[in-house]
Amino acid sequence: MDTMTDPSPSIPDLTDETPQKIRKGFDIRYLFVLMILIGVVGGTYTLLQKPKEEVVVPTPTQIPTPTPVGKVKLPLATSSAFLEINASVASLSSSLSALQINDTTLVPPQVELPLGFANE
Amino acid sequence: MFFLPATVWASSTSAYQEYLQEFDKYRTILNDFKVARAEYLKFKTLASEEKALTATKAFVSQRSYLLRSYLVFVAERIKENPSMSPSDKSLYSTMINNEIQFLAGNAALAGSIAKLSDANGVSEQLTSHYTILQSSAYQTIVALKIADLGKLDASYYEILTKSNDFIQNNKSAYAPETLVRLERWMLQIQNKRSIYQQKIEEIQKENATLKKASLEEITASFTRIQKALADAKQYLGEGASYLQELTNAMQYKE
Repeated sequence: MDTMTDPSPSIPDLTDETPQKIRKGFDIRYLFVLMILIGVVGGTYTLLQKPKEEVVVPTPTQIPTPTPVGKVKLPLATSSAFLEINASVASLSSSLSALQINDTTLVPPQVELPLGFANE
Repeated sequence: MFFLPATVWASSTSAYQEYLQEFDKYRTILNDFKVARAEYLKFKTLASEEKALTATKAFVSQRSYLLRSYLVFVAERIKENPSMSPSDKSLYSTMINNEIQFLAGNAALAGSIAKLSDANGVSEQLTSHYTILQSSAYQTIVALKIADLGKLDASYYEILTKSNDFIQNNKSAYAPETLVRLERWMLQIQNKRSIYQQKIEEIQKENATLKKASLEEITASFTRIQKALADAKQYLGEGASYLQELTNAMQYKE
């Protein structure tokens, strides 16, 4: 019986498939497109963010006394005696601020004293 | 400054301008003197000695003029100070004028210098007197600042007294607890003034001993006094801030 078949498995012919096509799992162009996408998404996100507000350091007022809320001023607060006291306090505060303790114009000049010749 | 009377504004300002001009001249003459001295010390020739003598005479004179112009400026500041008592004005004016006279004499001697050894003698006269001159200037500066602070302290005391009178005269207008609080605050304001006064007393004591010290000690002491004056000013400033709080609270019943 010549119907016997070849018992060895047939080896597929791989000559048609190029080696490059097999190893090429990832196209470099995809990476380029991906980077552009990341850039676009990131840029859009940044633009949509609200600009950060500047941190404003509160300047302390000279007299940190809060104005009493809801309190009614006494009629004597408008008397001439009280207004005079109030004005005097304001004047004292401004005079104190204007006073210079270290007045540089009054500092004595430094002069060279020994002449630097012999017999001195 | 523009609201000051013209005569007051002009006298110390013109004295200060003159002082600055003398300082400019001094710097130039000092430079010439240093060059001439270096040449003389190096070559010891007759020509270099002649040049050194001329430069030294100019230098000794200008040094006296500079110090004199400075003291004239200080004297003007004493005259103009509205806070200083007449007795203190007289005391410090006399002190400064004595120094001005000394310098006038020293400058006159400079004109009679005929050789370098004479120059040494004239210069030595100023050197030996310099601690007194310097301490007189420093004592006067401190006295001027104490007077300025004293005027503000008087105003501080006046406000405190008026505030006290005001509260006592209007006792019935305040709630009892408010009255207690206002009186406690006034006590604290008075305490702040007491600390200020103690500091001023310390300053006055140290200022009085300035003349007994050496030049280095005088300078160090003056630096300490200036720091103490700044402290004293700060106490008054804190007290003034308390006074502001007090007057704010005085407007309300509760």
